[in-house]
Amino acid sequence: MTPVAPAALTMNRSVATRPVIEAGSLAVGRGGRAVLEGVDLAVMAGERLGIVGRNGSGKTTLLRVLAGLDRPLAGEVRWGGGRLPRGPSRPSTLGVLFQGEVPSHFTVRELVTLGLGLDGPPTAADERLVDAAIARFGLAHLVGRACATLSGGEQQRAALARALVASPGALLLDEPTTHLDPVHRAALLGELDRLRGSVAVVLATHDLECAATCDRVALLGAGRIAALGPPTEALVPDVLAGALGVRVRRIHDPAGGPPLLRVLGLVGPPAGAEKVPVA
Amino acid sequence: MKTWRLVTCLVVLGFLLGVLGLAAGPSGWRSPWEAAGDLFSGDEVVARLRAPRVTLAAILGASLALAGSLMQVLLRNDLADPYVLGLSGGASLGAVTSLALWPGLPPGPAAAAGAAGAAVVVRGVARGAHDPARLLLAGVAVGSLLASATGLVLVLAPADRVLRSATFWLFGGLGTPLWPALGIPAVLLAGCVGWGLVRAERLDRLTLGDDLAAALGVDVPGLRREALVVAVLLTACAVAVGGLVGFVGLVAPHVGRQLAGAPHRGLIPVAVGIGALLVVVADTVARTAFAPREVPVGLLTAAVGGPFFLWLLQRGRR
Amino acid sequence: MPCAAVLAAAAGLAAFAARRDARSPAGAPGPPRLVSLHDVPTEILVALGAADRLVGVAEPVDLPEDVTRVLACIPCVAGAEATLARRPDVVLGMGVVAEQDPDFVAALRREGVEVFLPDPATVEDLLGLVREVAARAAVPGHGEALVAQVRAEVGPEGAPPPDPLRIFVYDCGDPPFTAGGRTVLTDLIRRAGGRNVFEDLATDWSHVSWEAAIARAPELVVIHSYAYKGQGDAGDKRRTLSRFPSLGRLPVLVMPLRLSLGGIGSLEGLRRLRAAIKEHAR
Repeated sequence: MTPVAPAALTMNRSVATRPVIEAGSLAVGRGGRAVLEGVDLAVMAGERLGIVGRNGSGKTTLLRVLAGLDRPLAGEVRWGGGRLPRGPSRPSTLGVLFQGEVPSHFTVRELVTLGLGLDGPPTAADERLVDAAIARFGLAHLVGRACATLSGGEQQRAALARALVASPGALLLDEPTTHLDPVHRAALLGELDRLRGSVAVVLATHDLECAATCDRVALLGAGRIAALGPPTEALVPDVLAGALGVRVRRIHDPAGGPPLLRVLGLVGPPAGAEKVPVA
Repeated sequence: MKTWRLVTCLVVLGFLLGVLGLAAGPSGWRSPWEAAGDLFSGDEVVARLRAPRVTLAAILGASLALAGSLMQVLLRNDLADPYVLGLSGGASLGAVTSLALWPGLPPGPAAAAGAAGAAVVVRGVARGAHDPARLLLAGVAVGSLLASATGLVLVLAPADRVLRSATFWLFGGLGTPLWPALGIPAVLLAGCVGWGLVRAERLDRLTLGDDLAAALGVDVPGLRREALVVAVLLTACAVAVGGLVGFVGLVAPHVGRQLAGAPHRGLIPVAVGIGALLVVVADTVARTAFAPREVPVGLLTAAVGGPFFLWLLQRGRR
Repeated sequence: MPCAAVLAAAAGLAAFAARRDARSPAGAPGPPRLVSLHDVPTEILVALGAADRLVGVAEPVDLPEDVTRVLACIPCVAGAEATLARRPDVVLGMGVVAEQDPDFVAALRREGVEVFLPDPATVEDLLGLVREVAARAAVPGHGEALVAQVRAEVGPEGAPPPDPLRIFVYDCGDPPFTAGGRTVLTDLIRRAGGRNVFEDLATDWSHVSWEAAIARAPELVVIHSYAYKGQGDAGDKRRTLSRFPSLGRLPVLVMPLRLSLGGIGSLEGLRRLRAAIKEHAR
């Protein structure tokens, strides 16, 4: 297991050293069967952490446990050193963006207001927060529209505004780029870039290109965190071959930015084998 | 602001239709002034027959509208109505059994017990209230089981009369209660509307899905439990006083959403008002259109409310 | 209705069994085999002295003891399979049997069994019903004798009194279920010198509103009591009536259901109505 603290120190961007989320000896799974065990993880304020793994490797399950939606089978998750708060202070601690959020009957303004997690009508101060979030995500001309009538990109912006309106310290995203076209994907990554340094972002993905934009990557494989570190260490051919069972070539972009990862094929026996062996 | 305007409109309209309900009846039309005077002078027809009946219709419609709104949130299904969780089957079985065994007694209490019992069974079969799909399936399964049991009782029942009384009741036969008998339904309705307004924002978040609601600070299992209990209590009580009145609980929430929007703080009062108005109008028609005969109000709610709903749908499509 | 499907399936099975068993061939000598599914024809058959024609009878709901004693040795039937298993030539009932379970009746008819389901609306219909039943039981002579006996007891239909006593029939329920113009009970009330306030309704039994009942200013309430299973329910029905002062203060005649459904019991019903109308005449 890669030690957590040194990895945090190796981050190439300046972030506070206070962890927003800490997971200690975590075991997660569905129906009592562990999918991931021995997870030790600390997410620092303002950093972007990618959780990468094959389908079924426990990405979403881990994210759900971090978000307090499922109980861990063992271990514990601490948010800012304590338990995840209940009630209206939860949305100001964490924001979430899940796959397949159903477009609702609510208008954009109503949806964003719900992001505050209020148990009563919004006060004038709440309204100002909503206005700010709407302006920040360029939704001002859509406030009165029902979410179900928005385009996909508008829906995603509305969902981001909803997730961030209460200024949470962390944002959890599950497969945020999976169903997006290149335009919306670029737009989303752009929005996430604006959060760098202020909001910790944890995103579960199997999109290696998206993972390469993270400050750190946790590679899931064989029921544990197989590697944890900056993309330059975690997203390298050897590690990827071990954790995911794929052969990858890193292609350096002469224009700069993170290296491109081209998936060449499977490691080991040719395609069609029953199970991909993990080194 | 918009909500207050709507609620004011509904209250005024409700007052006018209520007076209309007092003025119209199978023994003849009275002028609204005359009817109002008769109400306070204790005239038998207005004060003992028409007024409790109009009040009952309003309570029934309001209860069904709220129960329907809650079921639509709980099951995350726009086609859910108050009876969907096998409640109609349980209510029918209770009512028919009661009519077969004690034909002199009103079938309401047994029907309410049947509805509540069905809900308990469905919740048991679905292992809790947390999974909408499982709840819905369990409701359909238990409901059809109970419906066939009802059919069996109807076929095997000894009395010639059970069949017709049961048919009338199953389509929503409103009786004429004494004033004190309206106490429990009225208090229950008021309490449930109050609960709905206190929980309005949490219900809003629940409509976004259980996970999102939990991430937005809602105690999802607790809220689901409360909402299920409230919806079942309202439905059981509605069934006890008025049999099975269809359409209202399904459509009033949709009309409410069209008029007031999706947030429950506005939706609940408006849907409740729409439900009450709809049943008051349908009941006035049921009492007068075929006089001296009376038809079950449930046969008329769709006829009275359907055109309005269709018009609203057309208008909403823009 | 799923139970109807089950019954239909059962009927199919029974039909198969019955075919193998071969019913008594048409025209063969021997008394007709009758099954009665309703108290009214059952009681008529007993009154005709033709109870021996009954090869099956639905469980009696509310019949006098001297009738049930005669029926004691006749097997009870319920459902298509049991009915067909008795290999009846004719199944007797009342209209309500078809109303309650149309598939059952259809299944019997499919098997070529004659199903006789009358709906008598007047005393004359009742006499016709007696003749029909007597004919099917092959005792027409007994039929004519019983008709003459009933006629003698009912007496001629005299001219109606100028202002007959107004009577409201309360069968059950809220809103009230009452007798319309096409019921034997309304005819009995007329022959007893009264008038059913809802005799203008062109139907048999129907739900009306309390308000209409009160507006028609009845002077006597006939409460239908369902006496079966030992549950006298007239008390409950009186309590319902007492919600409405102008109905609750009226005199009440409690009539067991049996006396006004259109069978032999009608004679007893007529006697009671005559006595009550005489007692409460203005």
